[in-house]
This record gives sequence, structure tokens and C-alpha cells, in this order.
Amino acid sequence: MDDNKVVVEFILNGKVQKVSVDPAHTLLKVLRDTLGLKGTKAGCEKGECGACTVLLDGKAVNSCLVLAPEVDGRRVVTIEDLQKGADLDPVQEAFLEEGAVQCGYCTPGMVMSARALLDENPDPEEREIKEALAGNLCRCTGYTRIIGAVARAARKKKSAKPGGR
Amino acid sequence: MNGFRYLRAENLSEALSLLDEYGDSAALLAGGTDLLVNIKEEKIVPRAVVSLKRVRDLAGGIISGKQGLTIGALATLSEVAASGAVRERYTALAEAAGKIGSRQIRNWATIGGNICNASPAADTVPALLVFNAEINIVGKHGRRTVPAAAFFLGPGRTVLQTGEIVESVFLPAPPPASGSCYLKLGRREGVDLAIVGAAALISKAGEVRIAIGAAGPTAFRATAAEKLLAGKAGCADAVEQALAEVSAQARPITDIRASKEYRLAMVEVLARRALQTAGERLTQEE
Repeated sequence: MDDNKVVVEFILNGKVQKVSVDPAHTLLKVLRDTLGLKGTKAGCEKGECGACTVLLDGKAVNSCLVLAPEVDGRRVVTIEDLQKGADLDPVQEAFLEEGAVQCGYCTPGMVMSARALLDENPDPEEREIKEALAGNLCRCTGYTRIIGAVARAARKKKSAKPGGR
Repeated sequence: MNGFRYLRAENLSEALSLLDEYGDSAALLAGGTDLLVNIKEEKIVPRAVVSLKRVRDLAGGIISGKQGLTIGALATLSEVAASGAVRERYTALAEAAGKIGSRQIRNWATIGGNICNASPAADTVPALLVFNAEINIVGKHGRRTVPAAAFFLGPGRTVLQTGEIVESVFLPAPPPASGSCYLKLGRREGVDLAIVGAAALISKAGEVRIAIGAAGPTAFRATAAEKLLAGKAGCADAVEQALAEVSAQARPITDIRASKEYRLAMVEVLARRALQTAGERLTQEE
């Protein structure tokens, strides 16, 4: 099957990544199994649960529904890239402060969807938060604290100094 | 997923020649949010997957002209839902595109894919029907245009021949001073297929168009109801008569989402509300 491999070159978390993939593998599988980035979770693998959400060219997508060769030449950001050194992303901080994590399996996907929303719309209404998270299922929390955490992250960003994350 | 060859077409002629070579054993990949699920579930076992995402001729974006609006097949559902031109003049289509799946799905799925997958519950289709949309198709022997109303043959089946690709969708200018609306009934707001979908358009001159999805093998225009309502959208008796005609045209099935009886009852409810909202939007225009 080796002759069937496809070489994919893309920007992963800010760095050039060149990897040879089986064309039938999804971005999710390549991230987790080939590149060892296990922060992105495998849930339903049918685009229904959102656990595998990553940013592709800045937009939230289900990595389980993206064929790995399709990311050639594109930018991918995973949950691993949100923490900068010792500093958590404001979305991550807000999830901790609000207690928005229970079992944690849906959390990376939730955080990535929230990050994509706030990048596009720094001051969302609750309705917009719900709409942006509608593709992320959580079976523990009932969503109240998750929605609260995204609103809190938005407030943090507004009060942050210009130039800060 | 089973092994297949991945072939990336860089332009239209390359895509067409790959299709020529692989014929029915090739699957066309645009967003792939339906295709990948079908391959994972082995409903489709393609020998080759031809990726269209880089084909510029299909990525024409959303272009507004005097005659109407052209949407390139690769426009994502997020792009369609967010387009100012679509929201303003083709409101029902913006609403339909914005109600599909989830943000993650809409960011990657395309309008061309939504059409070609030919789900009877595809949200964009009732909206395309009320705008008299035309599907532009390209193949190795040339181009042809098929009205959206004639494009769908049944669940998963369209008039597309082996080797043909949907290039774009054209929406003629809507009637002057008109309002439109798409309503979707699902079990929840996100990540669900429609139990019933209804699109309506009303013009100041009295034209009424109604299309229903997920209540038959293909979405359909409720033509008998439209005739009854022409010039009489404000008349309560005519509306009741027309809604009965809409239901009479529906052929819903029972599935995991709803029974056919429930669907039939909801066809009337959604059609009524879609007409109402389209009418209110028309009034706002004045």
C-alpha cells in the first residue's frame, strides 16, 4: 500500500509539518496516531459530537470528516497550540474558573469551537455562543457552565491589554 | 475506511479526465461531510476519490449579477449563510444553509455537495426550489443546465450522468418586492436532519411559491397550492384550502426521526408559518 501514500505538507500549530499519509485516513487519525497529538479526541467519528474539532484555516471543522490529504497547503491548529508557555488561552482559563469541565472528553473540542467563535466575534451574545457550540456534545455538564465560560473568556479578552492574547 | 486512491484535480479538465478514467468507481469529494460518513459505513466503496476542492472553476464564490445570483459549487454552507447578497435577496436560502448540521459541518460542507448528495431532507433544496434555481452541470461533452425542480430523481439520485460535475447554481432574480423564508423542524436545533422543511416566497404582485422537504422522495413545489394562493395570500379561506393541497402532495415516510403521520401534520404547520413569515418580510420591505 506504500505506493498509495500521499505526502501532505501543512502548517500544524505554526510549524511546517510534512507527513506521508494513507489517503483513507482522516486528519483526526493522522493527528492522533501518526503525529501523537492526542488532545484532539475521537468521539462519534461521524461529525455529530464535535470532540475532534480543530481549526482549519482559522475555521472550526470536524477533523474526523476531513480527509488527511485535503489539508495539504493549509493551516491546522489543535488544542495543543492554545497554551503559550505557562500561559493558558483565555478560553482555557475561563473553563477552569467556571468549572466547565467534568469528565473532560468534550472539552478540547468545546475549547476549539469557542476559540473559533471569539476569533470571529469577540463579543458574542449568548444566542451566538449556543449556535457556535451546537456541534459539540457534552453528556456531563448540561452546558450552562460551558456557555458561562465562553462568555467569561469574551469578557477577559475585552479587558485584556491591546497586543495581548 | 477501506483503501482507495486519492486523486486531486487541480483544474476542471483534470477532474473530467479522472472521472472519464475511473467512471462509476470514482467518488467526487468536495467537502466530504456526507461522503466520508458513507465511506466509513461502507455504503459507498470507491476505488478512487477525486478531490475537487482545488478546482478553481468550481470555486467561483457567490456572484451577484443583473440576471440573478451564481453560487460556485464549492461555496461552503457557511459562506452561503453569511453572504450579504444571499441574506438580502434570497433569505430562505441563507436560512436553510445556516441550519445544516453544525458550525463545523457548515465550514467545510459545500452547496454543490448538499445538492449532489440528494438527501430528501437536504435543507438547501426547498429554498432553491422557491427561487427557481438552475443547476449548471459540466461534463466532457460540454455543459447543460437543469432546473432544480428536475434535478432530483429520488433519495440519493439525481440526473447527473457518470462523468458529470455540478459547476454552479444559478438563482434568477426573485420577483420584485418579495419576501422569503425557510423553516426547519428537527428534534433539536443542531446536528439533525429535518423532520420537515418548508420554504415560502410571496411577492407584492401576488405570486406565491411553496416548497417542502423531507416529506417525499424528493423535495417538491406545492404547485396546486401556489395556484390557489396566487393573489390571495391574505385570504384565510384560500390559505386553508391551499394548505390542504400542500399536504395532499406530500408523501412522507416513517423513520427514526418521525412517523409519516406526524410529518404530514407538520407539513401543514410549517407551510403555514413559512407563508406567514415570508408575508411579514414582504410587508417590511414596503
